[in-house]
This record gives sequence, C-alpha cells and structure tokens, in this order.
Amino acid sequence: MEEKIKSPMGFILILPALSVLGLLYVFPLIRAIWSSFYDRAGNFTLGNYAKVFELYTRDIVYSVAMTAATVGVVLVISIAIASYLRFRDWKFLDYMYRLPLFIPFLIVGHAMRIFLAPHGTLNALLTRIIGVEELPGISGSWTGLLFSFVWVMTPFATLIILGAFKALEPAYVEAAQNLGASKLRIIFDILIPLSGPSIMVATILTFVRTISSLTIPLMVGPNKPNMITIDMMFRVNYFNDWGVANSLGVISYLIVMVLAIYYLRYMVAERGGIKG
Amino acid sequence: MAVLEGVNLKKYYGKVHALDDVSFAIEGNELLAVIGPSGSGKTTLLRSIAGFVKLDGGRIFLHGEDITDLAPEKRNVAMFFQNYALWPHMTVFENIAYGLKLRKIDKKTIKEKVEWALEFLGLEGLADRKPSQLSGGQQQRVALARAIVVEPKVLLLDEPLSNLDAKIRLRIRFELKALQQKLGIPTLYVTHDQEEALSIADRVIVMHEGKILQSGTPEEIYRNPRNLFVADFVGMNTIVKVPAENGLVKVGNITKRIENEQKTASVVIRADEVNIVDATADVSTKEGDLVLIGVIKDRLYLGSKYRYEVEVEDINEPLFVNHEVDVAPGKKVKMIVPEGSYFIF
Ligand SMILES: Nc1ncnc2c1ncn2[C@@H]1O[C@H](COP(=O)(O)OP(=O)(O)O)[C@@H](O)[C@H]1O
Ligand SMILES: [Mg+2]
Repeated sequence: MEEKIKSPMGFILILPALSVLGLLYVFPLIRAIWSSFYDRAGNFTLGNYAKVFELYTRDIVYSVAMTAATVGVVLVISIAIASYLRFRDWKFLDYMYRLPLFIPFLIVGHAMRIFLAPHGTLNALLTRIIGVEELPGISGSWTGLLFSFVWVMTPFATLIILGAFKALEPAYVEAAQNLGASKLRIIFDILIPLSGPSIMVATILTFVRTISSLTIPLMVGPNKPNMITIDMMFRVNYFNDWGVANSLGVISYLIVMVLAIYYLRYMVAERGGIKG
Repeated sequence: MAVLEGVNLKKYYGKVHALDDVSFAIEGNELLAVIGPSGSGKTTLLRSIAGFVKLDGGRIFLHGEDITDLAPEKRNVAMFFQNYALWPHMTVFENIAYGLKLRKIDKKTIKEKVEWALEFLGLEGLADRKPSQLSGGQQQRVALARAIVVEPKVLLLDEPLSNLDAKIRLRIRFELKALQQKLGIPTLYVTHDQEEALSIADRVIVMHEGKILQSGTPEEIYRNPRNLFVADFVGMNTIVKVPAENGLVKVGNITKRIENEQKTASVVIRADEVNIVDATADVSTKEGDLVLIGVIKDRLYLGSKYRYEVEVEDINEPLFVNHEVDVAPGKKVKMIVPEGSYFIF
C-alpha cells in the first residue's frame, strides 16, 4: 500500500487502463442509472420505474425465465459434450461444437428463421422421421427462441467446462475408476464437483450474454412477450423514451448483480474449503 | 494357480519400449516388489494391470481369469497412486467410503467398514477432515484405507512412500509390511528404492528399460546378482574396471573366467562389507575371498563409520569402501572382501 503512494509511477502506468474503464463502463452506467430517475423535463421522478412495472412486468419475468431455461439447457448440453470429449477423442465433435462461435448472431438469427419455419429444415426433417405433416413452425415462439439461444451459447460454455475437465488431475478420475466407478458416476461424483468454479463462470457468462442479447430475440423471438432488450429498443426507437429504457436497463443490471454476488460468495467459500 | 499373472506384456511408446516382454506372477499372499531406476517401466506395468494402459501385447490373468481387455472399473485391483489422488471435495470418510458406495453396500455396513479402516490405520478422529487438512503421512494412510476397504483381489502400490520424509519413511515401511501381512492381500509394490524393496518384499523383480533382468528373493538378488546392472542397482557399491584377456579377469588374488569377449570387466564390491586390516597383518582368509592391497588416500567421517578412498595396486581407479575402524591416510592396508560381497562381470 505504502509503495503505491511513494511511487506515482505505478499509478501513471495504469492510468490509461483506468480511464478506458471509467470512460467506457463506469460513466455510461452511472449516466444510465441517473437518467432512469429523471423525466423528460429533467425533474426527479420514480415514474419511469412505475411505468416499467405497469407495462413490462410480464416481459421481465419472461426474460428471466427464458434466460434461466437457456442456462439450464446449455449447461446440460455442454457438460454432456465436455464429458464425452474428456473420455474420448472425437475430433469431429471437438470441431463441431465450436463452430457456432464463429458465426455472427445476425446470420444465426436468419438461419434459425429458415431452419425453424413451418416448412423449414427442422420440420421437413421431423416429417420424414415421425411422418407427421403440417407441423407448426417454432420460429417466432418461445421454443424457437430457446433453441436459437442454446445453439449460440453452448460452444462458449462447453469451451470453459471442457477446459476445466481436461485440467483436472487425471489421477482423480483414475482413482474413482479403479474403485469401480462408471463414466457416468465419475461425471457426477468427480468431474462436476471439482469443476465448480468453471461451471459457475460458464453459468454466469451464459446468463449475461443471453439476457443482454438483442439480435436473436429480434429475429427469432415471439412478438409477445418480449425480452427486456427489445422493450428497451422500442422505448428508444418509437417513443424516444430514454428514461424508461434506462430503468429497464438498470433492472436487468440488478438481476445480473444478484448472480454476481452469489458467484463472489461461492468463490470465497470455495477458497476457504478446498485449497487454491 | 497364481493370484496375478502377466504373460509377455508389451507396451511401446514410439521407440521407447516401456514394457518389453515382461512376464511375472504373484503367488499366495506375497508382497512382490518391482524395482528399477526411473523410466524402467514400473509405473507402466502397474497401470497396465489396473487397466489404464492399453497393452501392445501379452495377457494378464487374475485368479486365472483373463482381464487383459476388461475396463479398469471392472477389475477389482486396488491401486494406490503416488500422489495419493484423494478427492479434495470429499471428507476422509467420504473418500474411504466411495468404493463401498459404488458396490451398493448398505449405509450401516459402510460406516462399520470405514470405521474399521480408520482404526486399522490409526486415523481415528479424522473422518470429517478434508484431505487438505491432513499431513502427508495421514494422507498416505487415507489413500491406503481407501484402497484396502473394498477388499481388492490385489493391491497395487506405486512408490507409496516416496512423498514422505526420510525418517517417517523408514518407520512406515515396516508398518506397511505388517499391515500387508495382517490383511493377507497379494501386493505388487513398485519403488525405485532398492533398500526399501529388499527390506520388505517376499520376492523382488528388477526392471531396466522395460525388461525384467532378474527376479528372486531379496537374498538371491543381493547375494547372487545375475548381471552388472542388478549387482550395481542393489546395495551400496564401489565399482572399478579391470582389463580382461582371453576371457580371464585377474583382480588381486582372484582369477575369474568370464564368458564374453570383452576387453574390460567390472568388479562390483559391496562397500560396507569390506574388512580393512594392516597390510602386514596375518589374517586368515577363506577360499574365494578377494584380497586387495592398497594405500588409504583419503577419509570421510560418517558418524558410525568412515568412508575411505583407497588406491589399489594394479587398479587405475580408486575404491570407495566403508569401515568402522579409524585408519590414517597414507597407511598401507589389506582389504578382504568375502565371497558373495564382490561380483565380476
Ligand atoms: N504416456 C506416455 N507417453 C509416452 N511415453 C511414456 C508414457 N508413459 C511412460 N512413458 C515412457 O515409458 C518409459 C517407462 O515409464 P514409466 O513406466 O513411468 O517408468 P518408471 O515408473 O519405472 O519410472 C519411460 O521412458 C517413459 O518416458
Ligand atoms: Mg513411476
């Protein structure tokens, strides 16, 4: 601590980084929170929040539920893929699961519309397999949105979880195997519990990226209910109402904060229990 | 029938022959030690028995049943890992109970068995600790408890003592032997420490570069090594090279015929088994004893004995031998090496 005061050099060196952080992150955030409490005339008000709860309670619940569902499905799939790749070397799967990482959201959105449309690829396939004609398209429904979110978010989560699985001391897995544990038991008894922090990170990143995603819900999601991000965009585009848009932003920020606090508490507990 | 038998086991990593036609058998409840320098293939042998290494050739039999292609989780051979591999997220109790839980044993029996194992290994009161809250010696015993509590058909130990302090190691060595005898579990014990192996094993296998060079009782290995490598690897030795002519080697009073057409031969002498007397002293020697005359060049005090550097007549290299009698440097001495304490190859 004293070191820092004695040498201003260190402070000067991190100044550029600090300024960027302040300029691009802290300042806009404070601006947003600030303006959520003011009306167009510049008077302090809680009206923006009242309006949010009047108009958008359902959308907020929907956004959280959709995001939570996405996180749940993504975790199941990425743990399954990561487990498979931890035990078996399958180059094809190893490349395939990363593919969505390199496709822009806009293109994913468009592709999903085609894929999930009433006469789209998915239904054509389903008709062939189960023989039922005239299936409804799930594009524009919550299932279609969930499908698209999962498609986009899974690779990132898998990357994190597989990294953790592969970094685990192999002897932990072998010791369990040696005592008679099947692969499935090892996944639940050894791999997952010992990769807790990484799974937590995957969960939070998936949650944040999903709840803040705009392109995908815009292109594949239903008209009603909407994700919060779309409500924000409409509020600004059609009503030029930055106050309510910012209130919505602050609320989604608070939702993520809850998760962040949970994460920090988990990490502290983890540090205390298992060493480093 | 052998409890565990390996027949012509082969494992290649590229050009490295980790196992080069290795055959062995464990009979009864014996403790079979595998010794060899680092990289000689000991761990590979153990891991192939546990099923973690896929062999390039050979078969493994457990009580006559071919287990070569059996998955590791179906073998019922308990492996003790060199770094213990205790699961950090489980308590001591959970670690030990894990194998029993997998066997679908009821809770009450599990508790009894784990408590028996804790008591057997002197771990009472530690059941609720996490592995990170244990000393190295305690962790080692928990790992052992975890392995024996499932009553495996064979116990595989990979350098079980190598992570312990030298002093504890010596004590635990005998505890381990006593424990193995009390339990009566056939055991394969891998170590690079030849002294450790000789002191607790019923039989010893010496490995080098993936091959078994010799197997036998500790006494056979120590007193009757079959080649230079084995002779040198076990015991504390001093080795000198001497010329060989027409298959005859002459050292001191001894002339030995060797089979190879080699130009030089190696004399391996057990450094602690040399008797040093005054050069003029008239001591009776037996037929077969090696007698060497030399001059003490230097001396090192080791506590219970001295370590001498001796320049021997007709030998170009110095000899390093240990003896408890104090002899001043510069003195001419006679060294008597009993038969069985020196080897010529
Ligand atoms: N997974 C592996 N890949 C490549 N080489 C290996 C592997 N495991 C062991 N080896 C090589 O096989 C030889 C025997 O190794 P190991 O069985 O570990 O010897 P030890 O346990 O006697 O020290 C060594 O040369 C080692 O480098
Ligand atoms: Mg080894």
